[in-house]
Formats: sequence, C-alpha cells, structure tokens
Amino acid sequence: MVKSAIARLWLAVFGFAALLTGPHASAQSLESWAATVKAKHDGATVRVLAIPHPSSEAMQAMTPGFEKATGIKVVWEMVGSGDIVPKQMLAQTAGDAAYDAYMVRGVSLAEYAAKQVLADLGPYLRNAALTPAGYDYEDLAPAFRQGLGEQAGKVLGIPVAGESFFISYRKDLFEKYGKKPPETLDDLLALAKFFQNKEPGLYGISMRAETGRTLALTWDLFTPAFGGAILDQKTWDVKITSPETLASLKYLLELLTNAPPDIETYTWDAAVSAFAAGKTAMWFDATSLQPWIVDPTKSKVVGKVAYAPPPKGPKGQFGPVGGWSLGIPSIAKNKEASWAFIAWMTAKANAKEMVAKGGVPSRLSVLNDPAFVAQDPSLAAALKGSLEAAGNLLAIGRRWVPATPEATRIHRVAGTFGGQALLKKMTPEAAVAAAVPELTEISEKIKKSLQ
Amino acid sequence: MPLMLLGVVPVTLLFYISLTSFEIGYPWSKHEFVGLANYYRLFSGRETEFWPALRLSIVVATVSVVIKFLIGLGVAVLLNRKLKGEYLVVAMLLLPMAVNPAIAGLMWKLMFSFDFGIINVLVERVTGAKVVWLGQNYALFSVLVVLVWMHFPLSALMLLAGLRGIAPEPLEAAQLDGCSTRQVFWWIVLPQLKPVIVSSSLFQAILAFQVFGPIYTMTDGGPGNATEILPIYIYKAAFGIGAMGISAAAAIILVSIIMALTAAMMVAGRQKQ
Repeated sequence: MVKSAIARLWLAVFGFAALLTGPHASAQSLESWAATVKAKHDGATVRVLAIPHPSSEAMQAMTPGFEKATGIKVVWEMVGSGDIVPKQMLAQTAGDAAYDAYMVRGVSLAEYAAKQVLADLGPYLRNAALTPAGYDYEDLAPAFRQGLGEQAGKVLGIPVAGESFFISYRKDLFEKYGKKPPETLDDLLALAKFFQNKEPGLYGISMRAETGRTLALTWDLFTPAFGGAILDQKTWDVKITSPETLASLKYLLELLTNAPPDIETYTWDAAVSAFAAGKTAMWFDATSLQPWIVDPTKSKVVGKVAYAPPPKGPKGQFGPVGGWSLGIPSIAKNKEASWAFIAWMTAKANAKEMVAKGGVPSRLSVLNDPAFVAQDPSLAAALKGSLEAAGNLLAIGRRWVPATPEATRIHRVAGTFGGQALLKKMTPEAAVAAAVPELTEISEKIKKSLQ
Repeated sequence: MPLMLLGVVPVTLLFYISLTSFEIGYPWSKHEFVGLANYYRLFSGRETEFWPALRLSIVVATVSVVIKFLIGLGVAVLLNRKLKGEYLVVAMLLLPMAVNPAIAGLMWKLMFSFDFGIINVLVERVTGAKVVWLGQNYALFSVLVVLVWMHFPLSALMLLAGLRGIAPEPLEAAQLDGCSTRQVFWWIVLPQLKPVIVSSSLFQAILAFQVFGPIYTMTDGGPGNATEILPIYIYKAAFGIGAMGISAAAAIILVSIIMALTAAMMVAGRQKQ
C-alpha cells in the first residue's frame, strides 16, 4: 500500500476533527440509509473488478464498515490497470454478469458508452430512496465529474481516483539558483534548459515520453495551449498538420532534449522514479502520483519538492483530467446493491475517511478544507490550479483523451509518428504528414459512426 | 479424430472471426461479415503496423536462429568431450529454459536498466558511458540477447544428441588417413549433423515466431514499434484497440507461417530417417 504523507496528514487532521465533533448529520443519514439497504439486500454479494491503487486500498479498508452496515458482502478482484478494460469488454461481449461493480477508466468513457458497457447512474443518484441524504453529487470536483463520469448526458461513473496534472519541482535547487516556478510554457522550457546538466547527473525535466501512445498523451498536454489538436474534437477533422499542432510538437521535442537520455523509454513509473531519485529538477505528471515523491521509502527528494499548476501557453492554461471512477456493468444483476456499494464509498460523509485511509480526494469539501491547505499551501494551490486548468479544457469542449472509441487508435498513430521525430528519424513536419492517411481513415470512421 | 478437432475447431473459429468486423466489447450479434477485407487491410498496408511487425518477426527469427545455432553448436562440441560433472553442466545449461518467459523478460529488463542495471554498471566501468539498452537504437538487440539466452540450450542439446549419434569409425578412419581435426569436423561431422541442424533450426524458428512473454514484459513492443513483432501486434490489435477481426486475420497469417515451418520440419525429419 502506498503510505503517503498526504494520507498520514489527512488521518491526523480528520481523525482529530472527528474526535472533536463526533458523528454529524450526514453520517447519521448514511446510517439510516444503510439500515434501509440492509432491510432489502441483506446477504447479497457485490463483486468488484478493480485495479491496485491507493483509492482501491482505501475502499477495501472501508469494506468491513459497509458490510456491517448493509449486510452486503463485497468480493474484490484486482487486475492490472492495462488489463482491466479488455477484461470488462470481454465480459460485455460474452454477456458475463459475474461482476456487479467496475473500476472504470475515466478517459475511456466514450468507448464504454458506445459499447453500452455501463449503466446510467443518474436515476440512482436522483432517487432519494436509493441514495443517502447529504450524498451531494455536486460536491465532487466538476472536472472529475465531467471528465471521469459524465458522458452524453449520462452519469456512467462516480470518480474515486481522479487526477489532474501539475509540475513538481525541486525547491532546494530553485532556491539555490534563484529561480521561480514556471508560469508559462516558455518559462518551463527555459528552466528545463537551465537545469539540464547544471549539476552532475541532473537533468531538466522528466515526463512520460515512451514513443507510441504514451508520447501522444504527453503531446496532447500541450496541443490545447498552442491552439492545436491531433483531431478537432468537435468536427473530427484531422488537424495534426496545422501550424499550431506542429508548434506544440516542436515545443515538446525541444523540452524533451532537456530530459534524461533514455526519455524515449519513459512510462509514468519511470518518469516519477527519475524525479524521486533526484535525477531531474522538474516532473510534469499526474497529481495522484505525488504520494511517491513524499514517501521516504521511494523518494530521495522528500521535503525538497514544491508544486505548480500547468503552465500557460499562447492560447491559455489547460490541463488534463484522468483517473478512475466506480460504475455498474449494464448487465449486472443486482444494480441496487451495486449502487449501495458505490454510494457508500463515494458519499460525502465518508470522503474524509477514504482520504484518511490513503484514497485520492475527489470532493471539493475535502480539497478546500483549510486544515489541508495550511499543511502544504504549495500542494493545495497547485492541486486547485491544476483542476482549474482541467476545467478550462472541458470548457472549450475538449478532453485530454478524445471522447471517441477510436481515441486509443488516434494516439497510437500520432505517438508512433511523433516518436519518429523524437528519435530524429523524421523531421516534425514529415512526421505529422506521415500520420495523416491513417488519421484521415479514423476521422472518417468517427464521422460515419456519428451520422 | 478428436485430437484433430482440438486443433481444427479453434483455428476454424479464428478464421471465421478474421472474416468479420467483430470488435471487443460489442455483442457478437453486432458483427458483420466482411469477407477478406481484413486481410486486404493488412496486406495493403492500411494497417500501418502490420508489415513492420511481420518484417521484424522474420528478422528476429532469422537472426536469432543463426546465433542460437552457432552458440548451440559450440556448446555441443564442448559437451561432447568427456567432462567432469557433465550432468551438472547440462543442468546449468538448461536453467534459461526453466525460467518462465515473462519472468525472464522482467529479469532482463532490470539488468538492462539504464540507471541501475548490472549491464550498464559493467559497461560504464569499461567505457565510461552508459547505454540506453531498451531505447530505440538498442531495444531490438537487447530483445535478441534475451531470446538467444532463453532458447540456445535447446539447440545445444539437440546438436549434442546428434554428435553423440555419429558413429566413431568414419572419424577414426579419416584421422588415420591424415585429416586434421578441422577437416574431420567440416567434411564428416557437419554433413552428418545436417538433419539435426535443419530440424533444430526450424524448431527454433517456430519458437521465435511464437515468442510473446519476454518481449511483452521487457518492452511491450516498444519504444514505438521497435520490438513489435507479430504476436505483440496481434495482442495489441485485439486488446489495445479491440479490433478482433483484424487481430484474428493477423493471427491466421502467423498460424500459416508456423504451419509451413512445421511441415518443413516434418519433411526434414523424414529425410533424416
């Protein structure tokens, strides 16, 4: 289990607060709601297909409480994050109703929706008999709600492990050399150049850049800030050769020249490990991985790190939102019991307990808590800023991962050819041009499916 | 007959799926029969990663078979002499084959690690610089090292069995006639080993075309598609983008290659008899 400093902090803050205040009104509502659930579903079993994640571990730790309150038994089945979606799709194709709840990959909502894998949770949320009083759906961070749960007017998932992206930087090095955290993309590039080889074994920045889909996901961190896109997410026209998209690729390639020499092999774990090992001055990645760099068993830079939201580009400040939600398979047999499980785990009354047990905060009431902000203002401000940046992206009608079942294919094509430019086997201009035929075919397929 | 059905029925189903537009996640009832369209997409290059994957599989099979043969032959010749602790040596030789392929991939991934891998520790001591073994330029080489390490003992054992099956009389006669050891080896031993060489090489080629586990855990076909051989492509098409029809068509092509190699091996076996 990832024992993060944040988790310990929350445990201390909210454990103490709970002692002072005792059970509050929403907790009472939760208990009375649980009693009605027990009357109806006592003895039922909910099988959950999930991935190993701090939030899953927190929910597993909360499971005995749920089982005691509702009489519903929970069986957890864990699979790797790369295997869970294919497993869910196979179950859907086979009509296998073995699972009652899924951990849902938020950026794949369009695919889940197109294949009708998930039930709409809207009716359950709106039904006062099925949802505890004080559940407060609106308290879930809007970027997480919209980015990880809502799709085409339906609620397909409730966020439990939302993540946005931010910059983590070595405040000791920044102070030593009189540098300020980056506010713009130009600042970020200048800082990466400044710190590259500034000290023995030190590089400017680490990011996910494994050539292929991973590289394209990183590229799409920057395309909105330049006003570019691989495919226009409103018209689905191919935009990869536009001057703005090309500029974003050139920017990324230049940024990555100020990274460790094996950057082309970096997945998320390699990127965070490099920063945690003190190899890079900056790290631009998911907020949910922050516990790694404050965990003394994994990190050499504990106490030396501060945070900044995604930098602004020529067209504005944008950031992605990703992560995991809880959903119900459309073919599940006992959806009410499944919903009872999800409602308990994501209820406002249980939000602090979940975070205290190591889960990722998803609710505004938790993220804005003065006690949390006071403990690490830099982290709190960066989290807030990164969520605002994620909201900016959603506000212009875009998602980090395009809302189409073809999203994986789009990024695979863009990342494969972008990777050729990273490896200097093609010029950036030639790389984007080479990606056009396959992207055009994908574009036509998407347009046809929408007719 | 039941044994034949065990093989024929799954491949027939796979072939049928290859003629459809079936995508994972949709109900089976939604699939459309598309005839040979998936094969056309593959062979016409519209699936841009297919031809590179097939070419890479051929390169991996060819290069690894040659290296495995050369190392295997060298080891077999060494073991053909009277050695102390022969059984222990053979047991040690078999170790790479005893390691689970996926675990072997993970093990070598750690050894090839840029920062803390033992290989870079040694390389840095000798040359003063480290190598990105799993990067674009060396990933294929690294994968080949692992495949050779995993499978060369099989070649060595097959060739050793072949060497021990050669009657000593012609060798002794040739030496009495004044042939050097090298001449005996090239003109008498190797020709007699030919059937074993052919069958072991074909067997190794089949293994090379089928290999998945070590590459999946070591590089997942990357970076980019630097190590994306045909089985990795098939897996990614099926479970990465859900295109079961395309994936099945590529799998049928792979099955055809392996069947052709198997047939060639059987012919070689008959010639040996």
